Amino acid sequence: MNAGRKPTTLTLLTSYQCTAACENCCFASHPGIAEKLPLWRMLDAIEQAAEMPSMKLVVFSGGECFMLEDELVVAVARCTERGLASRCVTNGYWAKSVQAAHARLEPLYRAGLREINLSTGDHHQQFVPVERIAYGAAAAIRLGMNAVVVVEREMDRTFHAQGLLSHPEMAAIRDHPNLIVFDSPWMAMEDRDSVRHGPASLTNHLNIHRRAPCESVLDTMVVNPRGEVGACCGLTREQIPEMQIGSLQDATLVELAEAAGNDFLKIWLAVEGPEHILAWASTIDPRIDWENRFNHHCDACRALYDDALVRDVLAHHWRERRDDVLYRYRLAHQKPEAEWPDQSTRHTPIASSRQEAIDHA
Amino acid sequence: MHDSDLIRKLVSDNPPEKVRNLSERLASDPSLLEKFVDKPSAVLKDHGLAVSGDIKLGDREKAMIRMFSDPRVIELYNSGKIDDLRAHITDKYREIVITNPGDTHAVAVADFDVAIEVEVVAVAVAVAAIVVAGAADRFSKLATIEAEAGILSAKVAALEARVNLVDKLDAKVTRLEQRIR
Ligand code: SF4
Ligand code: SF4
Repeated sequence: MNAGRKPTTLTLLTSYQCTAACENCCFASHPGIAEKLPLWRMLDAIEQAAEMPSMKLVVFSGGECFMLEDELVVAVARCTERGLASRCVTNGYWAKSVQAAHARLEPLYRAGLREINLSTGDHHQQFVPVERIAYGAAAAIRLGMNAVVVVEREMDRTFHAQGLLSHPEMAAIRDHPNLIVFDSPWMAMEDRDSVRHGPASLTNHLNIHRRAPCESVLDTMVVNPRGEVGACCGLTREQIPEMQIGSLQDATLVELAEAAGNDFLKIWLAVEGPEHILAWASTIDPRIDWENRFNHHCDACRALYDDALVRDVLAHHWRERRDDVLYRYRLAHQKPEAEWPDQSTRHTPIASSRQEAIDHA
Repeated sequence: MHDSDLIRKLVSDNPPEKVRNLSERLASDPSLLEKFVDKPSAVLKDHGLAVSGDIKLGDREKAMIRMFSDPRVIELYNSGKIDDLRAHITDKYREIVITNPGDTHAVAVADFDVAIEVEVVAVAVAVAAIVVAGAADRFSKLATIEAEAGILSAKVAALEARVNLVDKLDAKVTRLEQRIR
């Protein structure tokens, strides 16, 4: 494998099925979706991840990963057995009381799970009452897990983290060091006007210095319910064909990570982040409209890959930035051997003989 | 008793008295231990723990049971000579030693395979677990081998989940059969 950023996290999108159907869910999840990642595929992916020395963490997400029930316990246990930490991202639907939450979390805790991420906010609460987040977090903390609660943030929201922290169950644990509650921007997936953000939170030339490089690209490998692998865990990843790097049916995680690590634009995203690339592209083609449009960096990233003007600038001018970007990448990591990915080869499946199922569940 | 219920009892923090007694006797009586390794079903039955089917222990389970009952292991552990303990385990119990790719040491883990083909295997693993539980009690502090203890706990949790999956599948098949009739 080339030197450079190495994946530390494997995210398994176990299914796009969810008990909720939030507007602007990044995977358009809802209860009627049947497709799921089979247990043997999850275990195989975990085994492969365990063979990569850089891998540290497996995140179970979806859709709603708790709908896997006992299979989730088996998969979490496999992570523990292979020395990988694990985390579950959930809407908390299962936490109907502290006791019910404890009953669901206890086997997972014994299997080695040490962190749950609970999502809530105006959209989530149309399907999952906020009490369940409080019960889930309280049960997790009492078991000795970390509980992270992520609250949707958009301009006209009615629900804030304060509303959660004032719940009696939360009051008892609000100062606990294992509890983290924070806001995260909610993002429009199809209709851009369906989510509004305050003008101060949108990127422009005055605040672009505050926009960071993308920490996820080439660091997180995502496996979706079809066994397809992505090169980041961005909200818009499924809408960016270039972020789909292959399938576990055709290649191993190691092969896919190596191929993705040679893609200059991904390296550039890791070095500067999408907003800075857009801003630079607009200095070459001033028709590129990027200011005061994006709150979330995955939104900016989608535009970067989508916008024909940006693509054109990148295709013709990337060499002007190559040395600088690679030098900084090399400083941060180690010697990369990056090439601009040829469109015809970017999605070439990599042959692999690894097809046997690790486990016949 | 259904085997899956037995497993839950065997691996719980607070095992029933019969299990505790067996665990203690296995730890203190080497001849019973050897009999148990050879014929676990018979020994379980003698102690009032009937299981359906004949339990067969694999080489790894056998080695693990012997390891946790080896006075030298306990002595080295309690004296904090972890390097000597590793060397002893690596030397005497090769079947349960795997090499951790991130570590130059060979690490001993109770690596039973959680993939259960039949419930009899599940019971065999649980049987191994009771012996471990008995040994763990005697180990005053498990901190330095907590990774191994964590792995064991994960395996037991996975095992229970597997049994639940089998139970659910059974229930599904029964429902289907009833509908066909
Ligand atoms: S809870 Fe999460 S996965 Fe489910 S629909 Fe809402 S945003 Fe999507
Ligand atoms: S900014 Fe782009 S590369 Fe980074 S996580 Fe978002 S979609 Fe993925």
